[in-house]
Amino acid sequence: MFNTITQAPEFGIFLTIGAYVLAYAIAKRVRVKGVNPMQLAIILGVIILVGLRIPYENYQHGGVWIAQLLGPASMGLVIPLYEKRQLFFRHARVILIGIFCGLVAGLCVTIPLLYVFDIPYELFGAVLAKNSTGPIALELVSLLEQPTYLVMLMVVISGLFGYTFGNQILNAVRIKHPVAKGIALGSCSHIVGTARAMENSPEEGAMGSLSILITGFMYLLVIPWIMTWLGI
Amino acid sequence: MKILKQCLLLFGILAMCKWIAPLLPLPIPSTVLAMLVLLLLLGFKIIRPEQLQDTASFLVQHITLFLIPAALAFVAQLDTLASVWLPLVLIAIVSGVVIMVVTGGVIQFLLRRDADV
Repeated sequence: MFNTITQAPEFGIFLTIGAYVLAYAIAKRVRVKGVNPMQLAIILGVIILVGLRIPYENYQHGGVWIAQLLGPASMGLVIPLYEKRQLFFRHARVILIGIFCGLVAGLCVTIPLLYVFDIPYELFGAVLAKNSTGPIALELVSLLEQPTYLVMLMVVISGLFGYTFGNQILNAVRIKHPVAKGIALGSCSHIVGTARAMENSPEEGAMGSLSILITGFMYLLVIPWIMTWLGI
Repeated sequence: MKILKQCLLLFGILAMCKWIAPLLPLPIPSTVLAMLVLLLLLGFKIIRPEQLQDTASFLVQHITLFLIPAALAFVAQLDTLASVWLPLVLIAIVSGVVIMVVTGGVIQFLLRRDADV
């Protein structure tokens, strides 16, 4: 009986939107720094799925309906980029060099650590793609023909890390320029980090959202090449 | 009707890209191709932002909602992740610090140098 209910697409849709709306309300009420709706919604979802022993396949019947809207939503991300094209053109060279250096430095620490910790090869894609924005990371991992179950979790962890500690880290190393801070937050922690950049200042926020897509496209070009180089 | 027309445009481009993407010589996800196509259409002023604005900003505002099903996928693999979750979190934190400091540091350095010259 319970299995029949949870298998219905309506259940998955209800659970996803329900967890999101509830998380949104809680985050608004609590106002603790570092608490964001997506993080809470995932925690609520895990509690319900694991607590009530609902198989992920059952949930997924409805989940795919929600996930389907990621396509048009990703296209929506292009509009702010288009509207901020002047900002990009003004600093294009500096922004591209900065993001590329960050990407290379990130890979230089991530790849050795993957081998040190003996992480299974099938999870490499998810770990390497984690600093690009959700939709692109997801597409990237499926393009590499690796299992996608881990990638969003890694993306969320990277996002929350930047949201929670980004300002402290950047302050500690005296990175104060709003362009540098915004791009750094967006490049490491994509949408979630950009939320923090927007709280800092509108200029930083604009830089953050600009950086998300540039970083995403750069990962899309570099990661498949790195994976071939690693022989995976 | 306005919202429907905007949806028509968004899904029209997506459907077209899903069909074209596998035909291209380089591997590119269809969603990303759709983003590039839309950027070109906007750049050449074939589409104006207002023709998509309402629907697009609603979807972007709640983009994390659409990522939740994918984020919950790990629940089905808890056994596999039990032994590796700690190193994975550690890697995320270490590489996060490096990426943030290097990206921000390089940009701030270049901007200041340009300002001095």
